[in-house]
Amino acid sequence: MDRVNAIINKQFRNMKQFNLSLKLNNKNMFNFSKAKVLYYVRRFLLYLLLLDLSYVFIYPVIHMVITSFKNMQDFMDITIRWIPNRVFYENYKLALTLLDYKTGFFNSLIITVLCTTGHLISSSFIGYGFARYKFPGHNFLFGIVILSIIIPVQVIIVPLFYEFTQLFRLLDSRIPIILPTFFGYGLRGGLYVFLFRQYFINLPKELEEAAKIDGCGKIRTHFKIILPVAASVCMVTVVLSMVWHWNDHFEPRVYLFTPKKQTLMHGLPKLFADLEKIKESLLSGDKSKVTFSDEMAEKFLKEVSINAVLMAAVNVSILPVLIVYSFLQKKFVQGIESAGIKG
Amino acid sequence: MNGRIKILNKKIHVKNEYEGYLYILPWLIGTILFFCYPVYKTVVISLSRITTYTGLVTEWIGLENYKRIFTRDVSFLPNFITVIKDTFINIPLILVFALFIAVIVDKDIKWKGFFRGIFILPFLLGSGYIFKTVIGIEVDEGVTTVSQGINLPAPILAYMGARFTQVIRIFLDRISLILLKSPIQTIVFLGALQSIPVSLYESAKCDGATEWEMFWKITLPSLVNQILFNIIFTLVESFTDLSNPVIDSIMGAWFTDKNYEYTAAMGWVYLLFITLVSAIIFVIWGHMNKTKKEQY
Repeated sequence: MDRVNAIINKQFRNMKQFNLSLKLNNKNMFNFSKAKVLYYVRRFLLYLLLLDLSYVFIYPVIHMVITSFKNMQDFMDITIRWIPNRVFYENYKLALTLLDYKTGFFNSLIITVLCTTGHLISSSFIGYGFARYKFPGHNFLFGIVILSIIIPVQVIIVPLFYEFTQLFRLLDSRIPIILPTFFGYGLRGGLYVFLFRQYFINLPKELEEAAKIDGCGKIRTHFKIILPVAASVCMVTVVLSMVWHWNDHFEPRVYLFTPKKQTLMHGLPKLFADLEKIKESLLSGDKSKVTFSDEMAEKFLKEVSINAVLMAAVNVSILPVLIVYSFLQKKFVQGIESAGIKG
Repeated sequence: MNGRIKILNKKIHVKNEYEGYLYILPWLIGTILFFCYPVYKTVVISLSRITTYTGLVTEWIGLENYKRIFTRDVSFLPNFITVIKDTFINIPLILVFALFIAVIVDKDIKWKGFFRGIFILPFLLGSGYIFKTVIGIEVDEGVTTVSQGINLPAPILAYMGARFTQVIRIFLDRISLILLKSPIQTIVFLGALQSIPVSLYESAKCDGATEWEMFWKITLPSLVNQILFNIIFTLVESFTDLSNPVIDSIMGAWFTDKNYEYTAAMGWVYLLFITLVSAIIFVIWGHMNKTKKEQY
């Protein structure tokens, strides 16, 4: 037994030495082959390109964030391009109060959540209908879906506005924005129908047939089987609809006019006008329009620049979407991968 | 017996087909309410003169408004032409850049998630609007600020002279704007790239294909559908974009001038063009799919 052990030990030691020598050899190898050099050069260029491109993409964001912390002196100073002398929080305070952030946030939230739900439910049903059933005229009707994607809302907005406000008596309400999403319309509603249809066309029929044989109703099959199977498309729909609705400023601007129902994106251009008005009135010594204290007003005149406040407001209003998206990003990209937008 | 089964099958089939209407019922209602009615109304308005605004009561005048667009309006045709020109320059560029970025990010690199996140950023910033109103405030053209991101050092430009500088400026502006407009297209391409089986590339490699050849022979042919989808998407996006002068004038006419009849006519001319272009693309798409099926 001892002999066997000794032999094994010896062998093992030999192996170790051999490994060590290999490592040493590798370390001493300075003569790279041509292919390897080429590989490293290409890698280097690739990363350079990536960083370069990402700079272009990230530049507006950096610019926005940094500008939002600048005060008047920083703007005047030519030497400052990137980093301001000190962090100036006043911009954010002003932006939050003037934008009426709380109400704006909740209004945006209501519209975004309801519209996204609407798009998800309606377009999954409609897309399924178009994909599975060859009813008479389905090609023609699907053509209308495509047409509804292509036609800009701006072209038909006045008749729509007239329809909602005068025929349905929905003045200054969120319903004109929310209701169409439950019918497969609304902000790019056709696109989601299109996505769902393309996904279901390539899906095998067996699943639903099995459910049907087991006595599962149509609606139950839809929610229990089809939606989970199409989870990737659902994810894509949710993210796209969410981001577009949050950032939409056109429809809120048309349908909502009281400040109580203002969304965040809707409030931004108004904020700009408000700030200029306030500045003007302060300069002329008239304090009737100013809502904040005298101390703040003085600061406003001396130190605050309108651009910086605006940037702060933009940052604050984009922030919720950024946060939600950062949680969903991985699944979203995966979703697009597996949804595989097909023709 | 066989015949009976066939008939039975047919009956089931017919019954099934009509069930489809049940699924798209909400959409049908929506189409009548939110699509057909407004579209019909815009057509009527464009062909008539509004007598009272409260009920949109109209009086038929025929093609008068359309005549006005092409004979009397000074700004519409130039705007329209710039839009067409911009679109046809921008679409190929956006597609190329999106594909380029997707191919780079798809490679096995470090910090993949980080780069992907960055290339999607413009989409989260609310395409167009924020870039236009917020970044564009400092300079007259919102674009120039964006291109400062890839600004060239000033001495070089000073040495080259004014004209060259301008050309470079415009070039960089356009490219950076296009980069910022391409996030969705990039994601679509990225998704498609990931679904191409690796075995294809491996077998091509075994046969001695270079990466360049593989791109043209494997990657591009399997992306045909995505390319067409992206063309349509970019088209729609650029046609509804706020920086689009035609949309700008339409909006101005709707909301500030309250010149509804004329705007509706303008919208229809514009729409006809969009529909024509998209129809051509869809026909090509359908044709390609057909030939693809015949190949199998």
